[in-house]
Amino acid sequence: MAPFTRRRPIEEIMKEIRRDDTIGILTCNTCSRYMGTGGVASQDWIKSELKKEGYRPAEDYIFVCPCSQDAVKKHIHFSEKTSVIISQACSAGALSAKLNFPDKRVISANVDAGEAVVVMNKGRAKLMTPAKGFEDKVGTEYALMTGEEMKDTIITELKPEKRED
Amino acid sequence: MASCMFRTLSYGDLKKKLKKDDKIILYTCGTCVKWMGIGGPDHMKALAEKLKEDGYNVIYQEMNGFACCFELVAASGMHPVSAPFFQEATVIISLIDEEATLNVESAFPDKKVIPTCKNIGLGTWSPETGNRLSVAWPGIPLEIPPDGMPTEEAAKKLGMYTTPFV
Repeated sequence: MAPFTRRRPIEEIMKEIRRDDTIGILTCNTCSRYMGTGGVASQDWIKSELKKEGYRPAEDYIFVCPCSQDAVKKHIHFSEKTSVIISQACSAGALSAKLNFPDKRVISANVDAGEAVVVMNKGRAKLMTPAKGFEDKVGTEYALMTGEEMKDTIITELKPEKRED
Repeated sequence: MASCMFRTLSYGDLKKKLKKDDKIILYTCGTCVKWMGIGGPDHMKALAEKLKEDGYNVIYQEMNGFACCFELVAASGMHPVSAPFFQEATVIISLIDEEATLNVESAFPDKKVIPTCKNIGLGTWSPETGNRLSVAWPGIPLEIPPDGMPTEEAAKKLGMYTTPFV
């Protein structure tokens, strides 16, 4: 923990949606929310962007653990008419949606950046294990809840050089 | 889950890192590592009992609900119940992922911390159909198909474990 994600550009996401699609949105309210790519704020943002361009977000869920395949199966019920699901989660959340709704296309609104530690009292997350393409961001700090990349480093409690595996 | 980690040590490997006069704390988390079937309170308790049977001095077991949060880990050293044990301990066996282990190392720099897990990637959690990897981190030699890879298959390819110590 905790999966660290970044938003994909909205233009890229829109290229994967057809005009006649009925859109469902599944938004993570745990890790992705902390990293600024999930939660209410991110869902409101993507719905607004889609509507501005004339797309039809028809139903949406904000869910605590979209990475749990069984929990999604039990609690998330997209209607038959929904043709595409936009996943605002990490790749595990998107995979869970794909496995539970094989008749619908799943589009990831986020990309995995790796795994981070969270330091609540400093309001930041620090990337420790990078995903492919984010190797140069190891040690970078991000604001919790917005994901804004910070230019400075204030999390000095963590001393990765100590490890002797 | 969504962090996927595999156990890297066997029980025999773990014992080789311990001395009979070590004062041992077992440290686990109730989230990802529990869902992976490697850690969590039940598996920690079983390991503690096995170590005690084998003559090791386990003085305390700590369960954290969210061990990738640094303050929650550091709080173990401040709480009136757990603090005396964290002062007395010489070794902390970390039944958690690498990020959380880093938090333990940083919160308790004077202790010997023994990592037991390696972060592999992210994945879904499903007791019904089995956990599946959705992505593997750079340096992990796995090709993940679009429908994910069962974690047991991934662990077998990597020579690691998806099961608890005991």
